[in-house]
Amino acid sequence: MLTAENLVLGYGAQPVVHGVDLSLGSGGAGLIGESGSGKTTLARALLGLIKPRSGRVLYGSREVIAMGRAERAAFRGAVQPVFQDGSEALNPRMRVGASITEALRTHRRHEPGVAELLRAVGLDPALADRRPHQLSGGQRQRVVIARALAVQPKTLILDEPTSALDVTVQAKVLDLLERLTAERDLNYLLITHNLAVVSRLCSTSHVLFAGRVVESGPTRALLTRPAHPYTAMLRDAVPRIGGPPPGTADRTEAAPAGTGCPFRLRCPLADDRCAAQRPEPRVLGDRTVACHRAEEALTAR
Amino acid sequence: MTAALHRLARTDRLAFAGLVILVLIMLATLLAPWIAPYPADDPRPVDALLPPGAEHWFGTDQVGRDVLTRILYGARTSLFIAVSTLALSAAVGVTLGVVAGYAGGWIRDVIMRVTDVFLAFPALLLSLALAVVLRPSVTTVIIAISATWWPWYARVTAAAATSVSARAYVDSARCLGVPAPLIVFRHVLPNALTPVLVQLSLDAGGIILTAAALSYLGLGAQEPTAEWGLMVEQGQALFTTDWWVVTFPGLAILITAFAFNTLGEGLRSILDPRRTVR
Repeated sequence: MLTAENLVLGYGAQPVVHGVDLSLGSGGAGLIGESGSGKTTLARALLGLIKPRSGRVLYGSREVIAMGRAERAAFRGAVQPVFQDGSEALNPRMRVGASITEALRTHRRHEPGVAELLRAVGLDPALADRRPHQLSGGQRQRVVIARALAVQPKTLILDEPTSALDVTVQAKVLDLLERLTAERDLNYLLITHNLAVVSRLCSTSHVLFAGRVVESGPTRALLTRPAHPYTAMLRDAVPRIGGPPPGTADRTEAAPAGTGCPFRLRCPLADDRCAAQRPEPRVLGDRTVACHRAEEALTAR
Repeated sequence: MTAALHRLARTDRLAFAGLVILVLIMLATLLAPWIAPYPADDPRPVDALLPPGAEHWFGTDQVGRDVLTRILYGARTSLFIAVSTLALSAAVGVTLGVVAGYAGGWIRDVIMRVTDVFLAFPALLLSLALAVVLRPSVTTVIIAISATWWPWYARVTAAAATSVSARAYVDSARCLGVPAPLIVFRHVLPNALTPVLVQLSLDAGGIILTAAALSYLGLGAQEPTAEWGLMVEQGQALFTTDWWVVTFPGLAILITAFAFNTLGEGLRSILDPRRTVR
């Protein structure tokens, strides 16, 4: 069980993530947001790669950043990332077999072997002798997945795992992830800007805007009846063949932090209250939403 | 390796020429006792200042030693100085740089500020000061030049290591729990080394020039050691009357520095792993 409690993250003067609560229990959860929303920063914090400014990341009941040696090794064996681009996530000077072997060695595992892992992700074991630049994008991403599986983790943090791939390759890699996570009973957080990906792989989803979770709940409910205007906007931005062209956002920035709703500059429903007071997350039926006018949105549609 | 050589010969003739020249110079240093026409230090005042001819291709110097022989032996001194200086300054600079780049934070700040202090001194001046304090010798030259050269490697390595450390494969290794020293040597260093190798090769020429300058000023190699800078110093007064004494060692310095530079430029283009064809 991986949990974020009131997590505040950032590098410079302004935090990038403002007080996110997230819990990753069983199955798959989606984290949806546009670029700059703090998705990747959040992923890095969940992996224990950066220290939170405040708040905590807990694995079980222990804070990840404060773990001792043995505990940390156990955490590393249990929570693994799959990063966006295999050409970035694999050392370009190492043969891919060596990258997987490194994962096995670090955790003193002999099983499964490199060949078996490559087969599990649908690759020819002979590719172990290649270097990353001698593989296709889809093959590289499969190698990255194989390396993550080498340590037999319980949880995967999938950070835009298919965004660097062609659409047809994307579908195959998603098939693979769907099959592997089901077979191995893995929990995962799928971070993406792509709603189609989330609706396929995640039963619950969280929508991140400007470093805050603005809506979370069952993925299907979120997409069919969005309560937050930002969720609605994301859904309507997906182009459909034969459908109307997606609306374009005139403004793409978040309102300055401080008072008020961060989404108000782009929100079609924004009124005086939204400028004066930041909406706190509240439970509304099957979901949690941070919007003053969520009820109207739910009843109107 | 052979494939890389073929590629170099095909695509970058200048760098390949540099490589060939350097190989020839290395051979000359190794084989000097056998190929040199005369003994290294055999003054024969009767033969002083003979012009180039069949007996002495490059003429003789003011005490009657064969200039060609002195140049061949001088290559030993110059290459020894260049290689030792590069090894010493790279060992110090690369180690500090890669640690600074990977660790970041205050460790990086401390290392880089110390580096800045060394860089604040003009290199030749610092070398000169050190060479004056220590006794003039080849070892002094190596220490003096290394003292001014390592900060560049620290800086180049730190910059490369910082950018490499932010790559997803370093994050992946950290997420696997790979110990920090292994991450540094397996993931960061090999990928941060390209600019350093290029820099080393480009600098070899500069170091030979600096070493020659120190010897020229009388702070480096001493008689009877054959050293190109020393030979230039001794020959310069004779330039108008006996041009060969200063010209040939000067050309040797020029050609060697040039060869290192073209090789460095060539290395820069072939060392990018994504461009290597196997």
